[in-house]
Order: sequence, then C-alpha cells, then structure tokens
Amino acid sequence: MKFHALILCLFLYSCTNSTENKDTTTSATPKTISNKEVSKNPNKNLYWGDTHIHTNYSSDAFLFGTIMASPDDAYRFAKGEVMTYPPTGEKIQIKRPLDFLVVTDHAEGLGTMLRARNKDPLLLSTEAGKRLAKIVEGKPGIPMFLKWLRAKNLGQTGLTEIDTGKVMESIWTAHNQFADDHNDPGKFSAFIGWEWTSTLGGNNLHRVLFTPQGADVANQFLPYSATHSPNPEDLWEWLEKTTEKYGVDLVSIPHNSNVSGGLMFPDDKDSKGNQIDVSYAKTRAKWEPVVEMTQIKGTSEGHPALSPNDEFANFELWDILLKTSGGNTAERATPNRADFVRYALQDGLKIEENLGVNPYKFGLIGSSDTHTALSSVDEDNFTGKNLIDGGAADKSKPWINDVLHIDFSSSGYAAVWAESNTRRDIYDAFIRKEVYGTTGSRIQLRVFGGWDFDQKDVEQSNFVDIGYQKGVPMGSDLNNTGKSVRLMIHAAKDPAGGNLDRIQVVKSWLADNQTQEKIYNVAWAGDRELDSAGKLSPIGNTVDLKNSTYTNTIGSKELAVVWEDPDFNAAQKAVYYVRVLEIPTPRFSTYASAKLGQDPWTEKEPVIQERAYSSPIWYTPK
Amino acid sequence: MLQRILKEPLLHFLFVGFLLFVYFRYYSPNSGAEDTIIVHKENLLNFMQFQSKAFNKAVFSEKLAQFSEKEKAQLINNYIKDEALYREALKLGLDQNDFVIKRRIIQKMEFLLDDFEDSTVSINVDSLQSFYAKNKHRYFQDAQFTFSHIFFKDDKIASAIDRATAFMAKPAHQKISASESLQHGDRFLYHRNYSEKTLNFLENQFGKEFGALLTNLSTDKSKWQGPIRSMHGQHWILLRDKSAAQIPSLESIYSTVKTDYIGHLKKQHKQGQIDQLIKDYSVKIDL
Repeated sequence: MKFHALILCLFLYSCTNSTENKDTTTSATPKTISNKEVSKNPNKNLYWGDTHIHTNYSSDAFLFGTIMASPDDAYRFAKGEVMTYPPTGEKIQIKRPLDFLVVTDHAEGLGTMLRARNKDPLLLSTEAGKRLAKIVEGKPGIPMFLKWLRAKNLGQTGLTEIDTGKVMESIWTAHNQFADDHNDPGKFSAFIGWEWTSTLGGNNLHRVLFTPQGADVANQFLPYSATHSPNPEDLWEWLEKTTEKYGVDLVSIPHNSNVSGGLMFPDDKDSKGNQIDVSYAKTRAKWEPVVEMTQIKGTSEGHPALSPNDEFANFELWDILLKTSGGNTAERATPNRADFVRYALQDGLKIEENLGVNPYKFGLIGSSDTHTALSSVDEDNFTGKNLIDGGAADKSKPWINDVLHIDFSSSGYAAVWAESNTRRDIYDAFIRKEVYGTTGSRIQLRVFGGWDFDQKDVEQSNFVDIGYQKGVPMGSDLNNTGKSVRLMIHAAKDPAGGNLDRIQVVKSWLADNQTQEKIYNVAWAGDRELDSAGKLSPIGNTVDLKNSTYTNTIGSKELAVVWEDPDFNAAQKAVYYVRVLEIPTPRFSTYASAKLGQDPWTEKEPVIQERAYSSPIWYTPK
Repeated sequence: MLQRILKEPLLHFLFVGFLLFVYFRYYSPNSGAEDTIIVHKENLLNFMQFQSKAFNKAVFSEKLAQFSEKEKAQLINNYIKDEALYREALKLGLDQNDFVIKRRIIQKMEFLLDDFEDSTVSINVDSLQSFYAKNKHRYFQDAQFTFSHIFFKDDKIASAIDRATAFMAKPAHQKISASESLQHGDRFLYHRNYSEKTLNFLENQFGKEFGALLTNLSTDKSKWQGPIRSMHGQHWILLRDKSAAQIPSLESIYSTVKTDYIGHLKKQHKQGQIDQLIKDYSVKIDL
C-alpha cells in the first residue's frame, strides 16, 4: 500500500492526544434506586442530545491517543461534569447539559485497542489479539496508527475473527454497561449504540445505530460491523433478522451523505448494482426513519450548484472524500444529487410515483460525530473533531494536506419532542420522526401541518394543543385533503444564543414526474418586505470580529406564523420542511482567532447564521 | 635537579594533559565529525519521516526504494542543506538564548514526567474522604424548581401586570390545575411546565430577576403565587417542588470524586518530581 493511500485513510480517523490512561471499568455514579414514576407530557417536551460520538472504544480515536476519553467520560461530560481538556490542560464543561446521549463507537474492532493495551488474556488468546498487542506497545500517535493500518491492509488484524468472536462478546457487554450505568429515567437517557463504518471504495456510507433497550437485551447479539458486510442492504437484512430473533428494537441513521460519492441516496441502483425495487424502498424506509444532516464534517442539506436559487445553500459545506489519488491535496467530491438530503426527499417522491413506496421518507437531525468523547458544539465552546485541534493556536493549522482544522464545523445537535426523558419515549420520537436538527444552537421549533389552521391559532397560549388536534406534527403525513396545505410554525431563539432572522419553508414537489423546489420566506424579524421574487433582504450583522462578540439588537426572540402554500396543487406529491435562521454570530474559528488577539482567518466566513431544520411533512394525493 | 623536576606532579599533569590533547585533536573517533556530513540510509529515512510528520520506517523504506535517481538526489541535497545549516547555526551558538528551543526542551521533559499511569496510584479511603472534604465546593449542585406558569406578555395594549392581576382576581381562576393552565394567558415562547430545572437553566429562559423572585417563593401545590416578572412579561406560578442548592454526599458522587482524586495525585506526583530536580540545584536570586 502506497504512503498516500495510508495518509488518505487518516480522513476516516481522527487524531487525538492525551497522556492520561483511564481504567476501563470505572463505573458511573451509584444511583439511588427510585420507584418514582416518570411523568409524561402528552404535548411533549423538548430534549437535546447527540446520537453520534466516539470514545477510546473506537480504534481510530484510540490509536491517535484518546486513551483518556472513555464512554464513562462521554456521559459524565454530557451530564455537565467538569473535565480536563487534554490539548490545553484547561478545565472544560458543556455550557448546558444534554438530555440524552448515544455513544456510537466504530463496531469494527470495537474496544480491541484498549484490550490489547491492557493485555486482556481473552484477546491475547487469539492470534489477531497477539498481533494487536504488539501494535499498541508504546505511545499512541500517528506511527502507531500507521502500524495498525498496515496490519489491517495485510489482513493481519483479524477483524473478522475478532468482530464475531468471544472477545467481542466481552467487549460489547462492557461497552453496554456504561450506558446502563448512566441511564437515569426522567433525567438523562443513555443509549446503547454503535457505528457501522462502511466506506465502499472510499465513499462514506456510514450509519449509527441505537436501541432503546438495555444491556440485558443488547448483550444477546454482537454489533453488526462493516467487516460483516459493507453493503447497507445486508445491514438491513441483519436488522430484520436480529430484531425478530432477540426482540430488540433498533434504528439506523445514515450520515455524511455529503461525501458518499453519489451512493447514499441512489434513485436507480442499490449499492450492489441491483435496480431499486419495492422491497428496497420498504426496507430502507423501515430501518432508516431519520438522517443526520448536519455534523462536524459539514452540512448535507443541499448544494449551491444544485440549488442556485437558495442563497443560504452555501453553508458549512464539506467535500473531503475518504480517499485520495495521491499528492498533497485532498480529493474533493463533485456535487451529486444522491449526496444531499433535499434531493433525496425529492427523488423519494419520484420513486414513490413509480413503485408506490417512498424509500426516503425520513426525518432530520444533527449530531456531532466528535472523536473526543466530549460533545459540545457551541461556537464559543467547541471541543473539536479531534483533540489535536483543540487549542485556539492550532485551529488554523492543516489537519492533513490542504484541509485545515477550521474547515470543520461546530455542529450539531438532535432535538426531540418526546413525552418524557426515557429511552423508550425518545426512541419512539425517532420512529415518529418528531425530531429536528440544529447546527448546535438550541433553537426551539414546532411545526404542525394541516388544512384548517388559522392565523389566530398560533397566537393561542395552547397552540400546541390546537396543533395536535387540527393537524399532524413534523415528521408526519398529511391525511385527507383540503384547499391548501397550511403549516403552523413556532420558533423561539436559543435562550443563550442569537435572535432569529427568519423562518423559511422548503417545498419540493413532483410535477409531470419532474422534481421541483422552492423556498418561501414565511416569517421574519424587523420591518423588511419581500421583493417580487419572494426574497428578503439580509437581517444585518452586529458581529465585532476582533472581539468575537455580537448583540441581539437585531432579530426577534420569537417568530410564529400560519403559512398557507400559495402554489398548492392537490394532484401533486409534495414534501415540506422548515428552516429557521439566526442572526449572524461569530463562527468557532472567530472565537479562536479573537482568543489569540488576531483578525479572523481568511479561509472561512468569520460569521455564520446558525439554523434549525425540521423533519418534513408529506402530502400525497389520494 | 632534573630528577626533581621529573618527579614534579605538575609536570606529570601537564604531560598527561598534552597526550590527551594530542589524542583528541588527531585521533578521536569523532575526529572531523563537525565538518563531515555522512548520508546514511538511516539519516534519510529519519529526515523523510520528520518532513512528513508521519513515522513508519517500513513504509518510508519502500517509498525511498521507489524514488527515481533524480528524486533521491533531490532528497540528499535537501538533507545536506539542512544538516549544514543546522551545524553552522550551532557553531554560531544560535541555539543559545532561544526561547522557542528552550520551551520545546522543557516540554519534552514534562512529557517524561507525565508518564505516570493510573495503576501506580493506590487510593485509600481516608485520604479520598479528606480530599472530598477539602474540595466540596467543586461538587456544588444548583437549586432546582418544578412549577407551572400562566404568562402575560409585555407588549400587549393593556399592561401585563394589570391583565395578570385581573385574571387571578376571579375566584375560579385561583383553582386552575397545572394541566388546565395551558389554555390561559398568552403564548409563552418556551415551556409552560418545568420539572426539576436548575436556577441557571431557568435564568437562561426567564432572566436573572425572575430567578431571584422564584427563589423567594415557597412550595405550594395548590396556590398560584405572584405575579412575578421576567424579561418576557408577568407570570403566575404554581410552585410544586423546589430543592435548595446542595453539596451531594461522597457516596452519591463517589466515582466522580475518585477520578478527580486520581488526577490530583498525578499532579502532586509530577510536582514532587520537579521539586526533587530543583533540589539538586543551588539557586541564587540576584535581582
């Protein structure tokens, strides 16, 4: 294997360094057993979480030296504990604790580095284990990573043997215990999950998976890894069998479609080259009700080249593929419809027109994908993709080749409307798609679709009651029909963040079997007026770049509207999602440059408009 | 006389010194090291790895073997150039008084001192207990509130306080339950019911003043209290539960304290080693 090919694989993995070594068996705070019933709110509460983070159980994170960051640390940090941040030695704490967390370490060789390092007799009883133990001798870092990668490419790490054997049973059980120990119904939901890390020909097909059940159920099976199969169709087949056999519930969430090389949302052939058929569409829609659309490796909403009328499409894009043809520059993706969520929603309508089933009927979330175990994606408190880009002074340095640390995005979180903060209620919200994503800002967003809302409804103190009575929440299908689709939308600013600029509705529909899209500005701050093309002038900008500050002197703390689709055609399939934009605030790179007393780096926009994306609402003609 | 001179220790000393001088000047194994640049394969491999900031000898060996003659010559030239410049810089003493170089070497030393694994720390319960006692303030837990509220917005034509007061003047309204309360008052931008929320969380959503006013209310599951003001308007509060700020018992946060304690011991160990090093120096302060 050529050197460049080795380096390219770094993209898949993250670099961290730390000098601490943590006992893997540290258990969580002993909980007092409480018989208190967790109270439920039928109108649902809002819970914030991250369904995608990595710890020292992920081989890549470990090899780069994230020895300190165990799943235990991940939960503690999310719950609000103060930790020491390895790159700087400073104390670090999430500004507002999360309500739930899924630790999704890579299933491929899950936890084996840690076991090899600790000379676990069970692992060392295998040939592969002995080889791994040799590899992880000494100080973790790039040399160790390359040693492992070389062994992996020569087929010497015995992943197949390990991923399916006794050792994995023992590791998986230990991994699951962390979640059980930290799960605290009513207060904090800790989920058992993992990542299926398929990178077919360098194209990202990754999924995170999680279950609402505990270790008693999850310990019956082993996590399905890309070593078993790199094809999503095989993953779904495994899900079908495993859920049936063990009575386990599981959900699969694709992410980083932006670097899938046109493979994530195909409209024609599946990953094995077979024609997409009814069975594919049904199976996919069943197992993948939600897509992670924004994270540290960028946004997968849409692309300016494919949505030229969307002036907000050029936002936190990421196009670095997990492969390279060599040389000192990263290989970059070319814009492809099959890489973005908006076009998948559109193509889903088209496939449904032909097959009668929509494979892309999914909700939207954000999550971090941090490999630091520390999930904090506030622009002014960003823990980073890897621990090596943690210090402000490191931010402008290359991560690898021509990719800089500041090219990452400080994003995102999953927001969930659920009856209570329990594993089951939160999981059910994912299945219902009553979830949404943000770029890290905690914008509160409610969307209801219906036919009979009037403007007064959204002004009522109990507009949520009215929403459920007269319509359906985000993530749903509109049943029956009427004169025109109406959306009742309410958005409130992040209590600790910037004011709101505007609410937009992104509508996609099918006309004569052609997909169409249009973006409507439906509510906004200030006394601006729409121009003849329906565009709204920018809100303005209060950001002081030198000091990385802003003021809420522009924008609104709350926006609410009942919007009626002016172009509704009852004969056309349509899908609507809501996008809420904040006023401009400093980007994380600007907080870093200000900390150094410098001007912002010129490679990136110094300000961003944080946003929230609702799960869609679908209309299907009867 | 000559005999006496020949027995003179000083002469012996000078003679031995002369021999040593001759030996080191002309016969030392390192003779000429300063002005000879030797290009070994090893040197080149090291050079390549440091340039790429990636380390794997086998991979770089392979890479080097695949180099064309021209590429190899280029690599050797670069190596020679670096080596010559580096040695000249040392001759000129450019490494002296350079803060960056000094910092880097100190950092290397700190890394050596950091290499101290958990397994070497033994924890005894008494010392953990006393660590907790000394650091209690670190485990402070904020006050928490459970309540429902009926909201009257500031920017209506009638003042929020008047509308709020008029509302509760009706006896029927005083008996409203938490769930019924949703239908009353104005739309609030966040939540109508809050369960076990910290003061910090609430101050984020309602403002500081509200936090202080809420803290002054006492728990009463059947009485609407207020109205109290927030940055959004006026609120009637049904305060179902509150817990004061507290420091949890060691038992309830045992493993957090343990982790902190281990960190503390490591830091102490490192400081001890540094102190030991300093002891070997006599320090003169001459300000």
